[in-house]
Amino acid sequence: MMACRVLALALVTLLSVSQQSAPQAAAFADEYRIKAAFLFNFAKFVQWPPQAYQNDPEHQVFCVFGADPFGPVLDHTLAGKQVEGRSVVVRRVQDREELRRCQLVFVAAAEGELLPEILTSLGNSPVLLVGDDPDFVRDGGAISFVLRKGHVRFAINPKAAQQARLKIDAQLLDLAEIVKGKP
Amino acid sequence: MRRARVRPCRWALFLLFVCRGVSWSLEVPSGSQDLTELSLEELMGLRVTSVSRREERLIDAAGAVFVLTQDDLRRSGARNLPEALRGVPGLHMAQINASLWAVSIRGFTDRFANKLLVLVDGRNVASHLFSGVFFEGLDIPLSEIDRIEIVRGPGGALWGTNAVNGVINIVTRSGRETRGGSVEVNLETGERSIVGSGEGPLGTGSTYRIWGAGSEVDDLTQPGGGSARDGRTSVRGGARLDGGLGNGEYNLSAGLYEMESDRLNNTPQLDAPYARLLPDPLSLTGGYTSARWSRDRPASRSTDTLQVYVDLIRRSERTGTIKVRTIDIDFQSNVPIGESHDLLWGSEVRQIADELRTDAFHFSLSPSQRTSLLWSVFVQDQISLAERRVHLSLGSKLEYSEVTGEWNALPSVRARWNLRPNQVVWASASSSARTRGRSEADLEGFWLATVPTESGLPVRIVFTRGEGLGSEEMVAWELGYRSQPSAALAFDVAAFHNDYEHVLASCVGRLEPAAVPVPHLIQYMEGCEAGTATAEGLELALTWTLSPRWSWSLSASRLNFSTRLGDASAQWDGTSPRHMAQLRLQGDPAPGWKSDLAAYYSDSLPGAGSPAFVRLDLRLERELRPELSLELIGRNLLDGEHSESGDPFTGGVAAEIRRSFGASLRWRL
Repeated sequence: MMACRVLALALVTLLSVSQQSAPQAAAFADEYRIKAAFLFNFAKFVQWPPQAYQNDPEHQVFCVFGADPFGPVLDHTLAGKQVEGRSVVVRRVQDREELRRCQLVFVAAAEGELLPEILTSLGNSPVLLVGDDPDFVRDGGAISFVLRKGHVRFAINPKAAQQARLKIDAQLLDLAEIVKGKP
Repeated sequence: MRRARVRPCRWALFLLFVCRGVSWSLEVPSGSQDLTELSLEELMGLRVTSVSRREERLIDAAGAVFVLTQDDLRRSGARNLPEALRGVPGLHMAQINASLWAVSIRGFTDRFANKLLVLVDGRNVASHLFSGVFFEGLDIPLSEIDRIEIVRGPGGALWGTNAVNGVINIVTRSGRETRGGSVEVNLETGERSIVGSGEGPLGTGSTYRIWGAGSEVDDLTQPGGGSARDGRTSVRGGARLDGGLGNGEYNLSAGLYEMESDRLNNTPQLDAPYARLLPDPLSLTGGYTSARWSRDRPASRSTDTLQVYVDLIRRSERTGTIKVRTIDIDFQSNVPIGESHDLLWGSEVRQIADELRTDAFHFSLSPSQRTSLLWSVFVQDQISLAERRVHLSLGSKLEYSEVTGEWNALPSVRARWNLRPNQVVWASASSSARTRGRSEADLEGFWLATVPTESGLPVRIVFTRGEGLGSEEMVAWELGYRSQPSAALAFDVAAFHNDYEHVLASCVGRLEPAAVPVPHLIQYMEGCEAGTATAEGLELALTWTLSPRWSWSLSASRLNFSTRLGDASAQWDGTSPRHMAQLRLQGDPAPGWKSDLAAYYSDSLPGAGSPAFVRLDLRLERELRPELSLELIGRNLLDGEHSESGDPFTGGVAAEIRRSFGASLRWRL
């Protein structure tokens, strides 16, 4: 009964250590669950100018532009969350002109090629553009998601953020891959 | 049934948990896993799904890939690994009885299906005897599995021989993503199990996970009534340590298991009635230990991975006892070259030492002890073209098996074209091979049956090895399309055509007289290259998210499978269904409630003596408290009893798969 003895030993160890039960984290790290959590974190480390909230001071608006890869995940992740005292809302947007009403826009990878048009419509509006396509930052987006050996990482184009009058916290910049792309 | 041996241990285990449960605090904030609570650094440490040795987006895999996540496994309501695989499009899983399953992809289903490669955390778990998997020995609790990646189609260029029809890659959970522990108790018709785990950080940057599980499954019934004598008990435990080391990561893991199962097997004898259905209990004990280390070299953007493992197994049944020790060293390196080449190469050495003790009159290998090497090297280059929209992978593995003394080259070409970032067309051409296992290459004799003759002399049918045999070869052509046109819709379709040559089976050989213990004749069935086979088909999977709370998924497959194997003993015509389909509805009907409905259809299996069937499973989960949830399950609801597959080779009993109901409680600690 070696298996039994080992099991007993394992149990004793388990019981002695699991006493310090602590807040739990993710059970499964699905790509878009991680990315949804990143989006929330980006909002915490970016400072928008006051004009960004002129139309709607109560809400922090997260938008998804184009084919949405998140499905229900983004809504689940952000439900009940607040950023700087503003309740987070999620919108799906198909019309470029409506993007000005968002503080953060996630541009699906399929829509990455529309970036020049998006930039034109936004002008220098204070909107944080986050793209799913790694080349998104090089072409003028502020943040891109990149997959590095199974980990979700992100790249930042500081010039593009400046152009949108957004201040990115140094802590976020330290963790990012910095890309010198189009402003 | 020798269940009493395991039981005291299991009850001790249960009591420990219950007693300790009272003192466990309830400070855990929520049962839902909120990733936003993690810091940026912690988020960056999480891993996403990996497929085909390098990690990539699932949609970008140039092959027919399907992933079962921890959430999928939970929502399937399955209690064991083969049962969980029922949900995979294009995979055929048939339960033979309470302890035996037949699992295959794209044809050749039977209990000894030998064309799939199954890996658990990088360890090859196929038996070297016949290069297939004894699923009865793979009773890993599903709550300990992080994900299962299933590749349909050949994976030989990366994974080596025997990955002819597919690869099942099981990745278990580390202590990285959760902390605390959990206990799960399952009670259902004819089945009881308990699983406990503890996990969390350990010192700086490392995490541990430790788990134990016990299960007990009762006998099913035979079609004509009466017990199928196929119940089992098992105990299993494991532990692992994960952490960072310099520029890389390490993982140490170990596990132990013990399984006992009753079986009824057709046992041949030399006097009338020449065969009897006799109990043939199986006892399986094993353990493994593995160390893996991977290192990033930022200067060259490359990653090296080294894994060493030792696996021990002792399998004892009526025909004898076999002990196997496997030592494996596997190295791989991923080196990007310039902007457009991504080179992956690696090498593996495996030493397998076995010792067989049998009643030689029934089963014998020659030599009865053997230590042999398997050596391989592979290289693959992934070339990015047309602004990274087109990716071409060229690669091959070269493998040498000492058991057969054969070299095999397993080349493949794969291409993928991202029409749009969420729309991919892929195609592949590959050549793969299956080498003979030890029980094929060294088989002295296996007495399967006795046939009475008019002359009065009984004839023993004895299987034996053939001379001058090579490897089975298969050339596969595949074409696929994957698309996610909107958030609500995902679509995956794959078509394939496989040509098999030199399919190995047994053919009628020499007839010899024998005098001991009574005069009789021996009709040898000798290993032979029996002929060719063709498989072609289409597999389709569709997921439709109606709303954030409800989603449908549908999959269907068609298989045209034909063999031309002459008078060979093994025939696989009609052991895999021509059509399979499944429909799932997954919902969160109200806060704290989860519901799942799954319906399956499988065509009849004339070759395994099973009728077509429709199966309906229901699951309902209620979060009673944030740390406590209750699950209710109804399985096989439409039909009190049907058989899914027989065991045509050994003539074992195809039990009636019953309707069952169950409840399961899960505490998060």
